[in-house]
Amino acid sequence: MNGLTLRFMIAERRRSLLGWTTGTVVLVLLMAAVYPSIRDTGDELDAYLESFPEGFMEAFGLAGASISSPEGYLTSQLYSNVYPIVLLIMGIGAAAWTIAGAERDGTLEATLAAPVRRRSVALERFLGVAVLTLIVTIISTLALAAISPALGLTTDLPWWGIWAAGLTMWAMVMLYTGVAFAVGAATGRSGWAIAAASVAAVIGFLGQVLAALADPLEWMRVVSPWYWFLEPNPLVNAPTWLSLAMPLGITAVLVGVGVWAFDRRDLAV
Amino acid sequence: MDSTGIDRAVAIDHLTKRYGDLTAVDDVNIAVAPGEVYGLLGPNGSGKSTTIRVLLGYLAPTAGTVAVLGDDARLPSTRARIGYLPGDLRLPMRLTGQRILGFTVATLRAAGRDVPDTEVSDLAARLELDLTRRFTTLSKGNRQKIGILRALLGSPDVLVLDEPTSGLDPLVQDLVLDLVRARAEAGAAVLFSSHILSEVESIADRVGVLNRGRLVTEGSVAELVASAPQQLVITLTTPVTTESLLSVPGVDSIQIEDRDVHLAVTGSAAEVFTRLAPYGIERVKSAGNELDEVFHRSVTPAWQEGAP
Repeated sequence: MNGLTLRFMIAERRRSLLGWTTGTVVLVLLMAAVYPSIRDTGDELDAYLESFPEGFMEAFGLAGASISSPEGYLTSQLYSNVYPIVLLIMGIGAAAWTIAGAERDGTLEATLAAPVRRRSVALERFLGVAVLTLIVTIISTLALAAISPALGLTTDLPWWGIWAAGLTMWAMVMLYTGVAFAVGAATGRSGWAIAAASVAAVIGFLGQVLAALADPLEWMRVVSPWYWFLEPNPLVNAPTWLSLAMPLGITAVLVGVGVWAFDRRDLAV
Repeated sequence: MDSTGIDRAVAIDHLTKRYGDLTAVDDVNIAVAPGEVYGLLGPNGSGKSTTIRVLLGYLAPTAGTVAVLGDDARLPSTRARIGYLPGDLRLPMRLTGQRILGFTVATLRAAGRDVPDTEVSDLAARLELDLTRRFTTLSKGNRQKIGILRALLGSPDVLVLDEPTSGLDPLVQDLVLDLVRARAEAGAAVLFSSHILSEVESIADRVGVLNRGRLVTEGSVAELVASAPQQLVITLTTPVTTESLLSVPGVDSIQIEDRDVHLAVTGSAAEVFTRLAPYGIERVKSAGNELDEVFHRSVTPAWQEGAP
């Protein structure tokens, strides 16, 4: 591994990176810009939300904080849904393309014809996906961190809260990205890769929501990466092993399986 | 034998590749020596590309072995000595030729190959290729030139070219064949697949014909050409009868149209000329390509099999 394949892969996705970064930054800024109006109607909104069952509030990240507080607003409106979902769409798409998609469209041959080991190609191309997703996360978090003081979104939050949430969100996204990579690398089919990762992400999300709503489903939280990410309340607490090490560890295993399978199978280039 | 003592730069031994019930390559043996150009012929679906893809390690053989320069082509140290042009070249559309080839140069250097700084620009100038343009904006011929340039980088010891002149104009075809010939003269082994028989005849030392996965004919171009009937049209000043040529050895078929005698002759045609000399030979024309004849004799289309 010398990083050449990683740099080449990132060059291939340069335009896509620009698009996703711009889109995610715009989304995050728009969501942040709405906060002052939510804060100003805080008491009425809180009174309305209190009529919902506790489990419902918990399912949508409002268990311990008011929606009018920065912590409650960011958790319920950004980190519980749209922000990670956008990153998941980007990460899963890129991971499905990086081996399986590029193999089907023939462009993977450009890398495989070079004197590089096949397993290095797979590993570096996954690292490329991880770097691309991290870049989008960092830049969008930077935009959020930059605009937050002006909108009152930093009140009562530690300065590193947004960064810790961004990091653990990225770790969760990596896990599902790892699923897409493993399936794509093992089968050469990008459709299967996207389907497997999307289904896993939806099940994980539903597991987190349903477990909050029904006690008999409590066990579903234990296996939900969404719960691992949200439960420690990353905006105010430092990342835990469950929110950071666990998803990244599983990602490492998934990537290992994908690389192993890719190294052994017939390729369609 | 090359400087490293390898006498078979490309060694394919009893190679079989099956996909379920379909046998794509069936017990194929091919060897290419350093400095030799081996032309691999065959109709579509005959197993040429599959053979090449197994050789390069993209596919695992079902049975048999393959080796390039005595080793596994997947090893970076071996791969750095192989220049490869796939039959259906697809490169990242949004990258420029410079970026694509820059990656190849960097990986070759990382694998220990010496690639002079000017090699890319020199080859690009010879091929009249603009490397600043994105791959997507290039014509089919110019895309093919990028693939050829990439295959030639780092002075490879083995060139594997799957239909290299596809999409190129005749002038560039000649230039590409010159570049390939030059690599072979410098000691590289060349495995060259093509549909263009005259091209193979002009460049290959040996030829193998694949048909439905089997190597059905193999030999030096000279041998194969000699074994094929020559198609001659001899124009005489005085008409001749068929009977006067029937007993000439090597004459496979005779057809007479006025003063033109159409002959298929295997081996030497000297006796034919001796017999016809008294009738006054006005003009002799070779009417066919011998390698073409060898190819057509070797390859029976599936739809003709079993036909009466």
